[in-house]
Amino acid sequence: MALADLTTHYAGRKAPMFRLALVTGILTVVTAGFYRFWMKTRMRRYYWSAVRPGGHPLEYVGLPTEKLLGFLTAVVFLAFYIGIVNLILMFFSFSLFQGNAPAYVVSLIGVTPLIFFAQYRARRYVMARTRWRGIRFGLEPGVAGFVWRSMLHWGLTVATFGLYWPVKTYWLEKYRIDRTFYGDKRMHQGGRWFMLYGATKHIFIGIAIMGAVTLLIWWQEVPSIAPLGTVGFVWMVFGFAYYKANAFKRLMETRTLGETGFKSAPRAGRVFGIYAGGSSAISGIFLGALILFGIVAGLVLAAFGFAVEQWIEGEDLRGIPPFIPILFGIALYFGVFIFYGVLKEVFITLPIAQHFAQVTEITNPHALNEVRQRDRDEFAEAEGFADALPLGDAF
Amino acid sequence: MTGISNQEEHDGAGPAAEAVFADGVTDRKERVTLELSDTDLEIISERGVRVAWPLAQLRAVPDDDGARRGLTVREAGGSPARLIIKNPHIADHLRRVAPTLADGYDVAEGASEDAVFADFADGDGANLHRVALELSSTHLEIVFPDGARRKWALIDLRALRDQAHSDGLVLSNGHAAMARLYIDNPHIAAQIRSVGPDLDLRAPITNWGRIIGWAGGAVASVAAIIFLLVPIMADQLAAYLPPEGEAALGDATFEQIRNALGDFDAPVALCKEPEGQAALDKMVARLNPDPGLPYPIKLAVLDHDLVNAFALPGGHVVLFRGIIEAAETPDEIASILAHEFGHVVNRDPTRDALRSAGSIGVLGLLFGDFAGGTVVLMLSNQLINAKYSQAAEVGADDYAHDLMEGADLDPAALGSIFQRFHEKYGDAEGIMAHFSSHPQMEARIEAARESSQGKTFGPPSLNDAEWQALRRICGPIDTPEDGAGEDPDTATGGALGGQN
Repeated sequence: MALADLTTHYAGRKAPMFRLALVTGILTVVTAGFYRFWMKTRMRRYYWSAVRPGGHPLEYVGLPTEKLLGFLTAVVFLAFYIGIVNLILMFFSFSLFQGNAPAYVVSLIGVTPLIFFAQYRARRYVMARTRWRGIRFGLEPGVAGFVWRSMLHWGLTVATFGLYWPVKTYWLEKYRIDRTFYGDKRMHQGGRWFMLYGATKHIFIGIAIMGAVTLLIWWQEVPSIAPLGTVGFVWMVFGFAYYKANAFKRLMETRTLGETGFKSAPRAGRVFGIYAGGSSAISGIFLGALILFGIVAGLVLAAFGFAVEQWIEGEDLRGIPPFIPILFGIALYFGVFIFYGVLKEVFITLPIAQHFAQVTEITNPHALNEVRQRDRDEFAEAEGFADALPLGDAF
Repeated sequence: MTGISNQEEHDGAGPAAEAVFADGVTDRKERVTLELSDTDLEIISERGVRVAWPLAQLRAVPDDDGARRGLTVREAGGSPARLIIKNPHIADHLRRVAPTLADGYDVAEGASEDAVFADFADGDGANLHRVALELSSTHLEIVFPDGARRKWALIDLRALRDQAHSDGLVLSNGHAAMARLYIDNPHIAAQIRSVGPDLDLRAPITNWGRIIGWAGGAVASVAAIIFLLVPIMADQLAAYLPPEGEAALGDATFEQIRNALGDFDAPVALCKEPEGQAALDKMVARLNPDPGLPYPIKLAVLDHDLVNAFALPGGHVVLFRGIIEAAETPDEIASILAHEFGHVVNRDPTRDALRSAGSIGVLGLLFGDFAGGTVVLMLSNQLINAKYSQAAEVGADDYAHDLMEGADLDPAALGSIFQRFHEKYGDAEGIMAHFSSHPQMEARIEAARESSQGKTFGPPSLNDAEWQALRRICGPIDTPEDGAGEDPDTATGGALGGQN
């Protein structure tokens, strides 16, 4: 109904996300990891529905059971690959190189194509299970082309110490976007392969400052300018936030769906602020918990004095069965683990998603009215490979 | 279709049928032109995009600044979009053709008037329909702008779950249906929640058969790999691993185990008191394990309470302080050493390390990465509590038996220390877990005793002074009997001690 570009509302809020992430995280640990298929589904439903272009939410229709099934399928194949290949690699690594490091390296290289395979398949699954205005998204089959391109572009990225990164990002994104559909309409990633370099400028400025400071200190012996190195470092970190924001903008604004396009204006300062503020909040909460624990321990000591020392040093604690401290330790370990994950969703993932959603608009949305439905992509394997190989997670 | 600025308005300055459109989502406003048909008010953007608001759904927004002369119009149904008409002539004209704009219309009809509109996606095309909703006792009726109707039975209504906009509602007509009804208005959403009996019903899981089938397949293939394929391959490959490779494998795992058992800031200490070391060396020299070994035995004592001993690839044999303290004669330690040497000679640890290299990865795969680091723990644990096959244990026993006899020592010492630990710790603890895979252990103990009966053996492997030195290889012994229960009288001691 809007005449102008379709702006995007964001309906996600921290408190409900906190509850959802906490409950599903606890259930996942309690079930030795098997609830994670339900956790992923529910988290995605929330995140998807929070994004509302033109006031209508995205919908995630993936099912937990199809993820479980896909995972089991992947296990049958991967167990063979990982078990046997690891064993053989370990054997050759120790017989030829007298160390296990080469085995890990070779194993990683051996598993790399699988990771790219898993990434593309997972993306295809997620797109096939995403709808907006009742219309399915989709990703064309094309995993072979993605795997060899990924190997090539990642190889070049490693070989150039990361200088190639923006080109790699562009080509891989273009490969995926050009095979992405909304309903029966194909998306297109325009732009040029070098266009993301413009987004890297602040990273290079930061590095240049640090380099200059280093040179001055070592060759000219002016240690007094060392604090300027910190400026360079902060500048570089800001540069990464700027890259994230600006690369998103550049890719988004050269992307089209027929006559429909996109406009996006993410702010590097906001991205930087979310990461800085979010990590401070997370460390602050953990520090607070630690201080609280200290205060409680201090109060206990103050109240009971030397008696506590005797509980600890004397044999009285031996009356406690050994599994109680072990259980306590395990609970603490997983508690910290879950809580960190939850806080990360609440203070970083959600605000970042919110910012990028709110600054993105759909231009000429009228053309969307021509879009018709596409057929369901059954895809029984779901994202099983990505699930089994943790690195392959597309979300 | 005629412009609003008809006959009477033509003398006005500029194009009279202009207004300002605010989408209500952003702060942005844009100029639009208006056209009027018999049923709709059409709003045309500068780019030519048209949106039609049915006249019957136009509502005046009250208490606006320009309410007296101009007019602010919205569409019924809770949409945030506003059309701001400054020109009083156009406003009046619009009021004439759309009676719902009359003052007080909203007040008269109340919130229920708002409550009956929603957005409808039919699942065939990406265009949305602004529809009216009517509720009967059994059905939700969806009325399209062209008058067409759809009936959704209340019992079939399903709401999408885990939605971020929790005040609203996204409905479908059964789980498999593609059409969606988007209701943003919290009042309508609440009303429908109160009448739809099964809104939150989950979709039935239809693929249990396939899940169970694949789960069975997954378990079977993992089991086949861990218990069949990997052990067979490990056995075959272990024989071909060159000695340097085995030594490297052993060195790496030895350090891992020291780190895993140590405090978080330091690995477990090695015990190297010179006199104890000399005694240990003498014992090994007396045993004189197979000189044909591809690598020398690397014997180490770790300063740890575990009553255990184990072998690692590449000739590493490790004793814990605990087992030295628990032994009663030096020959018992010698027999334990002989047993571990047997594993070294048969390359059992190498097979086991290769086996776990294969199976740990598979297990990590099964349980996902939800808690990094667990895998490392499992790996260390597996190596310490290495459970070899029965054949491997029998082989090591046989070797120990021969080695003891060859060194002129009583092989029954192995049996006596096993038996004592068996009585003291039961079957599943520490060293017993390690050695308990002997099905005929009792029989073997007996056999060892009988075979040694009547025979005479040489002097013990160490004399008294040397034995005491070995027992102090990690430094002075603090006997646990003296240390415990120092203050039985304190009140707290009584309270907690009662649990024992």
